[in-house]
Amino acid sequence: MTFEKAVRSTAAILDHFQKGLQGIREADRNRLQCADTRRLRGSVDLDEALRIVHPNASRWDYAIGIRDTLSADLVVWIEAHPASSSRHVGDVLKKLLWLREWRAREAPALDKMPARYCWVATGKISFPGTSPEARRIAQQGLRFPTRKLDLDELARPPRR
Amino acid sequence: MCRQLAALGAWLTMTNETLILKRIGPIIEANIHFGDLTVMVGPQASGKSIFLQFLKLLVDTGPIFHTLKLHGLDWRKNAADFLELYLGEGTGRIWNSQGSEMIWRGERVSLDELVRAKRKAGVERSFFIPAQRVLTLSRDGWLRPFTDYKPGDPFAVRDFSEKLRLLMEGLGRSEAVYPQPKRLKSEIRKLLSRNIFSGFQLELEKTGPQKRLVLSDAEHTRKLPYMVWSAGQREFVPLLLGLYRLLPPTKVKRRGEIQWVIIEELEMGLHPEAIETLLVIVLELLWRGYKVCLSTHSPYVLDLVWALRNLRENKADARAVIRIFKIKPGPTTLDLGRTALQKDARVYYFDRESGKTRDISNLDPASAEKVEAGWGGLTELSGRVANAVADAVAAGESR
Repeated sequence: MTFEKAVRSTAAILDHFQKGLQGIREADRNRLQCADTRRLRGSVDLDEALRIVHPNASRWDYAIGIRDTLSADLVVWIEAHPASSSRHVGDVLKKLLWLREWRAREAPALDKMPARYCWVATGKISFPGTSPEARRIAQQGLRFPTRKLDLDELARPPRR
Repeated sequence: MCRQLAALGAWLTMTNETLILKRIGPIIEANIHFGDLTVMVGPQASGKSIFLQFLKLLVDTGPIFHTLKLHGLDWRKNAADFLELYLGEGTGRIWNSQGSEMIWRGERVSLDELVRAKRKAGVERSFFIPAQRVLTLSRDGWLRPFTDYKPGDPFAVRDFSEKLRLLMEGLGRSEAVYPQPKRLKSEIRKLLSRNIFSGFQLELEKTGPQKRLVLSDAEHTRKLPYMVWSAGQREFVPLLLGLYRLLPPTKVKRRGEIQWVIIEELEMGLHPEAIETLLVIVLELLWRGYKVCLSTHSPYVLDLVWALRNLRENKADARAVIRIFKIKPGPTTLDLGRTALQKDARVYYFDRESGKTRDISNLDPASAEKVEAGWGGLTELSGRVANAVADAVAAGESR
């Protein structure tokens, strides 16, 4: 399944598919790094797309498709959020929980695709990689926050 | 005006605490600007120990020469011979007269000229606690004199060993070495008793002419000789005795003449709880006004530096520092925390590949510089472990 097909089959966001990184707000796009742009399979601003339908939910920010293997794309789920206090760990994990519930309920095609969960810190990070917080988020499937996310590093080269 | 000039002078002196070493052994260029606390990290054989020993040499040239001569050791005004005696056997060639350089406090110092010059003994300004401190105690639990070592053994070990021996010789018959009521703050004593000595006491035991250090229980019914101590206790006792020299039991904050405390691999052989206790002692050294230089392979040491930096930036008070160590807030411990927040702490990475040092004092876990984000390699594995687990959890969902 390609990322685009999965997005187009999800009623709530089908009109929000964008090519490359165009679905990412400019301020946050600068927090991403991708040398091999040919592998980008599109992006969606989930927060914006779901704002009206789920106004009070802890909405997740973005989804980006990356060509991973010949048969399936990898979906990189990105939350741009401060990480300057340990309370932010709870906030982001709450959003992650919401994302998983929303996807299971309203986006089954995306739910089946290989995923990476990434937290892009919008400022300082208040906990080190050796902290219990780092392990807590890892156990929930969320990568350690970074201020500049390297998309190339996340995707494996496609198998031939 | 005069006061302003004096303040400027003091500031210049303070900011000029820089040592640059070039092309010495594995070091291509190490450029360290010392803070009140300076921590050096990096893989094995990256030059940290060489750097610290050169620092000691530059601070204490006279006393080092005097000690070597006192024991009949002669380097014939030759740099290579001197290094064989000072750093140890096989190190004579790390200094190359054509290429090696030392720049101390902004001034170039030639080792070739230094070893030829006559020096007064003078007073020691630094106290060096070497990584090999466990060697200072012999199997029978007593401290080895300077002459017990071979001429090719590092000066730092021999000198440290001798200093501890003299300190212990000064004690009376069958005396408690630890705990001593006036040595160390009571909160620190509690931590040491719990985390290192497990309720035991360190005693000097004298039977006839024979002296030895033993651990004994509170009732003095059970005595444990050196050979049955835990590895951590063997590592810690020489360090504790060294610290005794630096933490006088009087109202005087520090031994006036000593300004620098250099400790190699503070954490050697110790459990994290014991390391935690030592970090409180580091705060005590800072409180007493010493300039502290550490080399370490422990992320806990960097945890402390990172915490102090972030607590200060966020205007946290002394209680936040004290809370880290779970010690009771009181006038003395709060003063310790308050002083720690005012101190300038720096961290340098010794890169074995390039032979150069990098200032990673910000210790920003999100830094684009991998060396800084991974705290000079000390948290890099933890970071990779966390991300491997995160990716496995994420992948498990779609299976």
